[in-house]
Amino acid sequence: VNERQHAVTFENPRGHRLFGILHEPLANARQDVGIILLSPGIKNRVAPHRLYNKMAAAYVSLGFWVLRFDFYGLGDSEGEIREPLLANLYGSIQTGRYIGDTHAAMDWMRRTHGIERFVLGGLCGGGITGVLAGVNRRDLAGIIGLGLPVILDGSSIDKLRHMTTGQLARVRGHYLGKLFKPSAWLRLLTFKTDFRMLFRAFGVKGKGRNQHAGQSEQVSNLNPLFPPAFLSILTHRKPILLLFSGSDRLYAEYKEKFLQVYRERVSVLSESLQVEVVEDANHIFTFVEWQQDMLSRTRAWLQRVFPPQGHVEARSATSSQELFSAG
Amino acid sequence: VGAFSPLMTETPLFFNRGSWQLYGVYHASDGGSVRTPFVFCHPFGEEKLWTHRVFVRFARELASRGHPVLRFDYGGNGDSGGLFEESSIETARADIDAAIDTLLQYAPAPRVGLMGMRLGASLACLAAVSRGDVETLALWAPIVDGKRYLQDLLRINVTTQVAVYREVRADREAMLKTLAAGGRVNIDGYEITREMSDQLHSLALIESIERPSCRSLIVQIERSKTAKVARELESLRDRLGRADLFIVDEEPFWKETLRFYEMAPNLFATTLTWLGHQ
Repeated sequence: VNERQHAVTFENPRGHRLFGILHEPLANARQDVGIILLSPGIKNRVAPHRLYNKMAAAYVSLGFWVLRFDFYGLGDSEGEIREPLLANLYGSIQTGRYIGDTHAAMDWMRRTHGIERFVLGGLCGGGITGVLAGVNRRDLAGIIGLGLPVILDGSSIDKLRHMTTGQLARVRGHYLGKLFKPSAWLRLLTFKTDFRMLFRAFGVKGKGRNQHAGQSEQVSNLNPLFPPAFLSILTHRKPILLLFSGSDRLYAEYKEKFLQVYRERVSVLSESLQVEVVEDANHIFTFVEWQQDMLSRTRAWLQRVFPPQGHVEARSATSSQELFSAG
Repeated sequence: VGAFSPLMTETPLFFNRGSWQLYGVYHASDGGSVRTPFVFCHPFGEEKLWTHRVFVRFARELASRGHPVLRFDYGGNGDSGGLFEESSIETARADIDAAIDTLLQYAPAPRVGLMGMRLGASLACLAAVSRGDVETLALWAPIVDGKRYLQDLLRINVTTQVAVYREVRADREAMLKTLAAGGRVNIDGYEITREMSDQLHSLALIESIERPSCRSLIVQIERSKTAKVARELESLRDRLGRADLFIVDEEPFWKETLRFYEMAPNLFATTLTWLGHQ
């Protein structure tokens, strides 16, 4: 047994009580750096197939305190979500909905457990929240972004128009693979085929309003908040690990929507940036070999970037109430 | 279905079940007269995550009407201890017993209520039959045929294969052979073991239960207002005896939908009305 787990609550700036699980290392505990895993989308603090439980176990065995918690309106936490559509909720997360909750978690861990600096990590929405919340924070130690989205979601955003060349190539391959299937031709001839998708994949331009000006076709759905935040963190020499899944469109989006545009600036700051890819993996690292690969890479990064600085005694607690209840 | 009171208290906790520490949240009732306390039994795998917020909101609804509630995670699930591959139908059943014991420590009462969804509803049903102290049973979209459900789960694996590899590398027959040989099959990231698959395969809810003494509610959830009553749920209702069956119009919120499903207003209203709350 490497750890002890505590059910904890603390308040965010809005006065909502947030619920979380704090993983306490039982050996070689370090106070210099703690890890906060930020919830992905709406999958709560456990993440898909308990991915965060596995990550927490892997990192606590290195001596890190790890906190997983639910953002307001999600999981067990208080508060309400007013966006009726998931796409709009995701869009609001990508524009910083949970920055305040993340700061509250950092402040609570410092106040109650004496943790000085933090690695903010997470899958998808958790990753982008970490980047947005980490800007201008002296106590940011680093970022672990898994499948981090660099684009904006929203019900008004036309995903088809913003598909990457990699996605379009995949769709083209899909259509070409059906070239000799009668059922596919039947769908085409009975107008059941998605013609917008078909035309987009093969570069056929229509006369729709999006194609008239030519300008709107050029407008990227890159999240405008991402580049300045990301580059600022790198400028301050805070280490960032981006780990993408090989089968995930988010990797293509990172390269095509962000890196192509900001390549020069990123290359100047690349000393603090590590980008890795788990081959074949899907967005949520479904299969065990992908999970193990991801855990192995993130552990290796943590060990390299934050080598143990000698044994530090955990701050003694005068009462469990002080340590684990609302701050 | 109104807004819940901000004054209610919710306590996160761990409780023991064998070598596992199970996680739960106790929702104290919101003053006034204390009514039957409820244990909530969650669905399987990712369905648990998609339904989580609906469970939270319904627990708050019940607590605001005088019912103490314990939501909890089975061993190997959610925030509870243990690995998923160590869990099974049988371990989850034992977890429900431990949860009821824990609830009664917080809210002493002669009898309890069980509310479950999907596979959690099936487990709640089995628990109600085997215990003498269950007064009320609410089943949301219960899984009646475990064999068919297992096939649905295997289909999820096939879908993942096609999405990633663009081909099926192991079909359902091959996966069943893997399980029979003691191997594991991955469903949305959860590793199904032979023990789990065997127990799912033999889950025939209608044949498994003797008529319990409790009142039961069965809710069939349908997107279509014109959906017909499922024959298997009618059979389950007849088997349970003192049972009512309703169809409610909601999206299948145990899987990904376009909407963020925090409230299920028709489901909540039907269940609360059946429980005697207007």
